[in-house]
Amino acid sequence: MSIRIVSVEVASRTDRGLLRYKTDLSPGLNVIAAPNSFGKSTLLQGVIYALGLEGMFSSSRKPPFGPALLTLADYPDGGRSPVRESWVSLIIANEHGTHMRCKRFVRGDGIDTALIMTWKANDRASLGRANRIDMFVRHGGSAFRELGFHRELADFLGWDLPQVPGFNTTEVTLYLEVLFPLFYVEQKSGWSGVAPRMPTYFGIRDVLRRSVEYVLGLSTLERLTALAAVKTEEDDLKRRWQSASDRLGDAAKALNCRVFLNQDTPVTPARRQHCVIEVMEESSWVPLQQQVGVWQQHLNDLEQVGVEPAGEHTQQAHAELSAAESSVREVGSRIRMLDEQLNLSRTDSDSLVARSVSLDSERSRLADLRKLRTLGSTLGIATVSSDVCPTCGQALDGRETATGVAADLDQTIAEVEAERDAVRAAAQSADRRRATLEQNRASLQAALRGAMRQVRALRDELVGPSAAPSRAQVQQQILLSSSIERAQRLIDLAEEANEYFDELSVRWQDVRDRLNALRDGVLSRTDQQIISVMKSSFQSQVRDYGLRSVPPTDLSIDESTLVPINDGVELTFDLSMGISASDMIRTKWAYYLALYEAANSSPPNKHAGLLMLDEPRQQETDRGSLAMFVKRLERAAATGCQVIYATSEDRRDLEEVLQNIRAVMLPAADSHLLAPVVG
Amino acid sequence: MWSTLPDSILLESIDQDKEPAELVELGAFPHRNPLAPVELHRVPLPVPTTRRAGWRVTALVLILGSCRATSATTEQLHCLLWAISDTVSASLFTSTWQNRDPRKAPLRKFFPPLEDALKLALAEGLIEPKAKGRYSLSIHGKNYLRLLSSDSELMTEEKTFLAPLRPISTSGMWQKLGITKANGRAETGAST
Repeated sequence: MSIRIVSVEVASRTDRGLLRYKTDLSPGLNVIAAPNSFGKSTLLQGVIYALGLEGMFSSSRKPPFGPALLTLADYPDGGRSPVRESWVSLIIANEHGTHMRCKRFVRGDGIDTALIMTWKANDRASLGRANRIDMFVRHGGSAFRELGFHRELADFLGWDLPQVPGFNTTEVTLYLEVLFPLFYVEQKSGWSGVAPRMPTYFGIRDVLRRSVEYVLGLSTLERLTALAAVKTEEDDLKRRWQSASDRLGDAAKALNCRVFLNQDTPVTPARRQHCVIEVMEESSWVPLQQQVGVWQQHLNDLEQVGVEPAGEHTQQAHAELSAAESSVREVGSRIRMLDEQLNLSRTDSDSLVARSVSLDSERSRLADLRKLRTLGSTLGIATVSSDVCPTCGQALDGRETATGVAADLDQTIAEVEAERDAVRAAAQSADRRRATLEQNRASLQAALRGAMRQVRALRDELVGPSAAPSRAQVQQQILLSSSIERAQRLIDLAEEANEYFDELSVRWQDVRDRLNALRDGVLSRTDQQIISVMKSSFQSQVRDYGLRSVPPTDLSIDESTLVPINDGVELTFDLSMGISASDMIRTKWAYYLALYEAANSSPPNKHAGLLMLDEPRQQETDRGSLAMFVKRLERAAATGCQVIYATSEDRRDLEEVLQNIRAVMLPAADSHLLAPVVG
Repeated sequence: MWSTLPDSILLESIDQDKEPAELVELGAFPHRNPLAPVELHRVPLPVPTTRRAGWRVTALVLILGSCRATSATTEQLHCLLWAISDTVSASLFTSTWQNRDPRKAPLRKFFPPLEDALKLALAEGLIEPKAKGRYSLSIHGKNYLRLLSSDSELMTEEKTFLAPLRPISTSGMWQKLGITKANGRAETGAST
């Protein structure tokens, strides 16, 4: 769905009165012709600013205007007056005829520039009766929160902003700020390079490609949906891996063993390592398989000797009893030490968790406070909007600090977040330490139980009849047989788990491959057709514009990156490639128009149907080329694209270029855009 | 090493304009010579939310918005602002409100920063004084409250705390917290 700019107003209130420029725009080709320093760029930037899109130039929060709207305004009589208040107001319409008025202050006493006042109605005439809704931009959530203006603007345009792969996080929203550079070329740096200049601070991978794909209505969305499905599969594999490792861990814990999986999350078969189970033996962990061998040997020795009568075993039983008792004492003392460490560790964990919760709460309150500033500015509550006393105008928060210098909200939030990260890391470390201690304690507890059982058996044997078989020996044999049997079961389970992990690894590899394929996916047939339209439009334009540096047939649009290429190499302004500066401008014109024409050829596209070009005749490009370009712009305007063309061309030259072209000239009679309002 | 460092490096960041008492944080730079003069920087100190005037004034508006006829006594405001300022005090207040143990002392708290918040809110025209030491929301305050209520994701912790208490009446609140009102007098003393 497209957007149409119905009217625009730029105003600045000074001590001497109101300075204003207000005009309606027609749906087709609009030309604003005025000399340099008239304020044409201010007008176009004003459109972008009113839509809260100045983030497409940089992450800076400074309004992109000159002194006329920020500090000092010039008057036609040569006088100057300080700016007290300034704003931009815009009326836009969508394809359904719904109109929206957006007003945003550039400068205003106590008014946050992140606030956009909006009015929405079914037609322009009803806007005056519409309710005002205040929304915000340039803050987190403006693209999806209820009161976020970009969420509202995307809805107004019928755009559902997709999630695309990012650099730092897995998915990032394709924000409006990365789409509008395809519809507006600003004068200062917009004409440098061939491809549109895209903001990179959103951390979107292949940002130009993603934006162009979206605007052209390529099957990006379908691919992204498929990507989401594969990601669900990926999550499922992670869950299965985790669940299997938990099951194995629990089984090992029941036998007082521990498992080394080597991989906590799924890995590809190439990186797969088999898990190892360990058991505690005489205060150190040894592989269970090896220990089973030791137990088996011991059992074989016992079975070979057979069970002796207790009377013949007395001396040895005394020695064994003494050793078992000493083992009980030693293991008991180690358990007590572990208990002390565990108590300390639990206290650590509890206090860290409590601190983390309070930091979360503080973080959320600070974020609220940041948002409150906007609300405060709406109603002019200085205490809330700017932390100053409403009576004396002095900073309030500084009163609460010893130095009198209070950190601002962003600094405090950054500090709280840093502390929260540190606390979380410490809590995780405390949890890991506690888990290890608990595992060691469980193993020692089992060893203690074994030693106590042996002590009881030996004592019973020493007070029992001499002719009876040695109970200690019988018990030891039973214990060894049982341990070997249970250990074997655990080893079997680990082998089964290993097979399962192998299977999951193979599936993991498959999922990873599919994910990579989807991320670098090839174009569908429909997509190829759209790209082909774009290519042919681009090539025919560069031919019509009289490209001289290289044969026009050598230039094309790359299917994977969607940027202009010269004989397979990305086109950049490089004298060694033999491309002149004016030819770069020609290719730039061709690229923007080719994008519109290709998008227009496939109905479910997401082109805004808007092209704003600030001084397109850069580098003294040949007038004949410019005439061809304007003719092509007129053709685009006839198919529903609203074009705003700002130029400082000489009036006679411009008339020559605009000969037989249907265009609406925007008023530009005075010496400056902002003229005093009389009366 | 000392001799190789030019004086300009050693002295460059000492703020000559400031009194030593004003300079609060010591900065040590390990890459510098350890014998180099200590550098002192004034750093902004973080201020927790509950100590920020903006939060207090907003919390006050939310509290009054939860009171019957958007009006409350100063004592009520002390107790409620104390409760809303911290999760521990909020849970103590809520548990007392819901099911007070008659054997325990009544809950009555004072929150000194309220005085400041009341002055600021009065200066902003958000509240207006009433008879008998009461305050109520002004039209401006009610507009602010409406704006606060329109965003469900704003001040959720505070709103969640106040929601089950609403509407808070003076006598009802003291009764729930175990403070009885003597005939013809202000709320005093404890009940059993």
